[in-house]
Amino acid sequence: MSLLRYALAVALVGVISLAVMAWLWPINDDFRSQNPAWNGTGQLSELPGVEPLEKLADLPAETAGTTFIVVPYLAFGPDELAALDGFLEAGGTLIVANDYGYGNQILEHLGVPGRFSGEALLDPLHRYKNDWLPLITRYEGDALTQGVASLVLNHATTLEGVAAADVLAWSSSFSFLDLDGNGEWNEAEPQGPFPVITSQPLAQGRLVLVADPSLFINGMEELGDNLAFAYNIASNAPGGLFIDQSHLPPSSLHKAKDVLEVFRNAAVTPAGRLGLVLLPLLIIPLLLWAGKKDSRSNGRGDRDDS
Amino acid sequence: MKKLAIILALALLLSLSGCLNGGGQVATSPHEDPSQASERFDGFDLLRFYGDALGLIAVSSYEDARALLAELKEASLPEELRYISDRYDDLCRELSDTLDRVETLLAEAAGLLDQNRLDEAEQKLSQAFSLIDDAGLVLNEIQTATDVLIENLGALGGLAGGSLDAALARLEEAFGRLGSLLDRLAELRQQLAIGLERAAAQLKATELELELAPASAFVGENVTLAGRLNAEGSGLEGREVVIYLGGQRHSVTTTADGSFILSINLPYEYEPLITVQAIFVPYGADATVYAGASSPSLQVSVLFYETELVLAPPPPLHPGLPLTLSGRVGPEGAGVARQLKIWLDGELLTATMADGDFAVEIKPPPSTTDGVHALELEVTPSGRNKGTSLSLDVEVSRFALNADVETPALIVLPQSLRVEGQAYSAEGFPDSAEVTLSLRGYTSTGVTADFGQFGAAIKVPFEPFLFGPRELEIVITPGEPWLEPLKVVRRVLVINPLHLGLMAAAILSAGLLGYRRRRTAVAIATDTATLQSGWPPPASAPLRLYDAGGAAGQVLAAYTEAQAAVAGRSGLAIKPQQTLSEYLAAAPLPPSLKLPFAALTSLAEAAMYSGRQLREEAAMMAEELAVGIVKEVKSGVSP
Repeated sequence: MSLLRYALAVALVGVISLAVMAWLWPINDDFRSQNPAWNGTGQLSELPGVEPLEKLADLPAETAGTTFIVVPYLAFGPDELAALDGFLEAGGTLIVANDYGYGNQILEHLGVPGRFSGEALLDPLHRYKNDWLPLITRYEGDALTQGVASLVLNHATTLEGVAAADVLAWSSSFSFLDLDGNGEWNEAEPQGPFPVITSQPLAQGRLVLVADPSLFINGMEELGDNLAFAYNIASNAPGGLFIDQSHLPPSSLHKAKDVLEVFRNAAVTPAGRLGLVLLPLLIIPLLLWAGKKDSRSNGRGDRDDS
Repeated sequence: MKKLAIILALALLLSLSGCLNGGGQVATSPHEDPSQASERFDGFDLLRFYGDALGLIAVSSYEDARALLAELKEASLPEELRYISDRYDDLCRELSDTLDRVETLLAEAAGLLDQNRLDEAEQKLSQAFSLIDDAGLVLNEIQTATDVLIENLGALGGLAGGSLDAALARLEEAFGRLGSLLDRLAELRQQLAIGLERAAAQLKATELELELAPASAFVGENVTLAGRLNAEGSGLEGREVVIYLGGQRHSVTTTADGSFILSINLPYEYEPLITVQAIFVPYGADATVYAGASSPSLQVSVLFYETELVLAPPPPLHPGLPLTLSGRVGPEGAGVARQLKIWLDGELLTATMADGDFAVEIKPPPSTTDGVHALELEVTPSGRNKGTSLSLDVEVSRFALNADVETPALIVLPQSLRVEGQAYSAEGFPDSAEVTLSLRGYTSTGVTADFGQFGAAIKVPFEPFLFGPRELEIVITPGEPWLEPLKVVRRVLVINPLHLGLMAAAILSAGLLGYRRRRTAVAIATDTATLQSGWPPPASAPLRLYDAGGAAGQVLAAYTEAQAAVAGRSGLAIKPQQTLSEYLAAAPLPPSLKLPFAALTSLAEAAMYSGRQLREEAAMMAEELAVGIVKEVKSGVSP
């Protein structure tokens, strides 16, 4: 076997191995519904009626009774913002779960006064394990907070410019905004309580702001009543709960899976399947022909020898 | 070169495999793994907030202080600190409550003093005096508890050096302000006491008598209140006397002899006792002459009928399914129909009149979810009958739907797949339930007939790519809201004639390939055995050594020819277990044969075992050696 053929064979085997590994390897992207690890949202996606969305164009036209959770870590384009408008106009509930992403771009577009402060919310006394995991125990009565006594946030931020009547959950009086990022409270840093969840009617629908998307990740579901909160969201969306996946930064693995998905989709088309069926039927005769050729050349050598 | 190619390929794979690592994380870390999060506690924060709570108390923001302390009670603290922290909370709360009460008493005393109600004002001031002393003691206890708390925090390592100083300074400041507050309150109490003494010396004492008849009455009935306002032994005429009856306020004016009489309807409050008190507050010119007065508190026994409400334990509720609740509204024989309201989760289900035993039909809303719900029954008050209510948790559930389903084990495309079955539940058979069959995108619907029986079929057309085991989904959706929809999944083997043909072709091709390979392998094995046994191959089967073409084949052919000649000359055939070198060593040959045969043996072994390609020169040399050996053997030179 020549060197070129040998290298080609190794590369082919390598590419196929990588493709198989990339296909089977679970992704660990933050907030991805396919991610079963602590930082994914696989558990939320398994709730009844929950459907991850890869693009906003897949939102249903009839949005009354549906809820759409957006974790905006990528900016929205004009068409996407218009899609959110349409969703709210048709009566859907839009949940913007954001801490340090592009949540304010959405709020600015929607023309509501509330904003995500973008400052880290720390709580030295009401918290789980450390100050960056604040415990939320102050709630206003609402269908979303029914049966919720405590929520555990994870590197959250706060809401500002929201009406007190719209607030569903507040941080404790001990919480503060860590403006200088030193992890400790200083005299100049504002102290709580701060609003962390709000709900307000908007257009024909409802806008819910959650100042921490990490509330929904797998590792946080079992803490406090986080799962009950997620259940409340799902149960208040009889028309379906959709989770946006299109504004999460994709990893290389995710991109590789996307490419493989293209191949897979092509393979499941009638033409693709026909190709998959015919491929072995083509390869087997080729192998037979190659074997026959080798045996002929060997035979010729024998005759030469004799 | 092959090794280099492998290394380069591996390097390529490793570099590409980087896509399996991490990635996909957003720029700012949005969270940490809570299970791996480090635990950290800084006692400075705890002391800081105790300082804040005490500071709020010191500025009389008692509500805010209580709210802050309530939040501190829920703080996530190390277990070692929990006891002292709880005690500290209690003391702070006690101090807050005490000071709040003192301020309230002093305000009340001031108000009473303004109304010339000197006796009552004196009582308030006395209570405030006692409480101020108590507050001082509690403050001392808090200071002691602070020392213990700091000691415990230090033992836990929860205090940084600089933080401790800051926290202590904050607490000291709070203690100083609390001491000032106590001093101010004591001073205020003193001022009020002086005012009280002065008023007592200037004003004429008054006295208010009050009588009640009858002492007991039913709700809604009249009671008569009579009394007299006296000053220094004589009645005061034309003064307004205010009478408080429960939550009601009435007023009456005294007659010439200072007496008054008032008839009042007892309110429908259904409380067994109602307090009555008359109060005289001088105003106008009287404010500088007379002291105020209040009568002794009297109590009216209020009569009413208790209502009994008994409900037989209800069975589980089912959405949309009518259910009869039975029970009894008493007392029995009262002869008064009472309004009975029944609520489920705050939603009124029905309102009806009930007298004695009742049986009321309710129907939970069809949208009621499964689970525990609150059922509440209320009998509204009526006249002399007090109202009552009872609430209980009830289980709401849907009946499970079952189905016996018959499906074919396999189908051969194209075929109509028919499913038959019967749906049923503990409640009975569903009425016209929708039955949906789906198999890989092909669906069909039907409805259940009498006794829940159904039959439906999917026409599965010929499709080139539909084959193998497939899931057939049968969903039965009943129209009755009290029945749970049912989904049954069965596996059906789909046989596709096209695939059978293709598979047969593939198997035949593979079989043919395998057959050819087997023939080749047998030939190789035969050649090897022949070579090692030393027997010349039969004439019909020309010698083929390892099917090796080219130079190697020529060398081995030359060796075979020479070895046959050597064997004939020496009378020693090569044994199957011998290698070529062993045969060379064993064969008794003269030097004229030994040397060329040794060289030829070496070439033959190189042809057989070496990984390198033999050159044509080696083949030519082998053939020359073989020709020489054969010639030497034939020349008849004896060994």
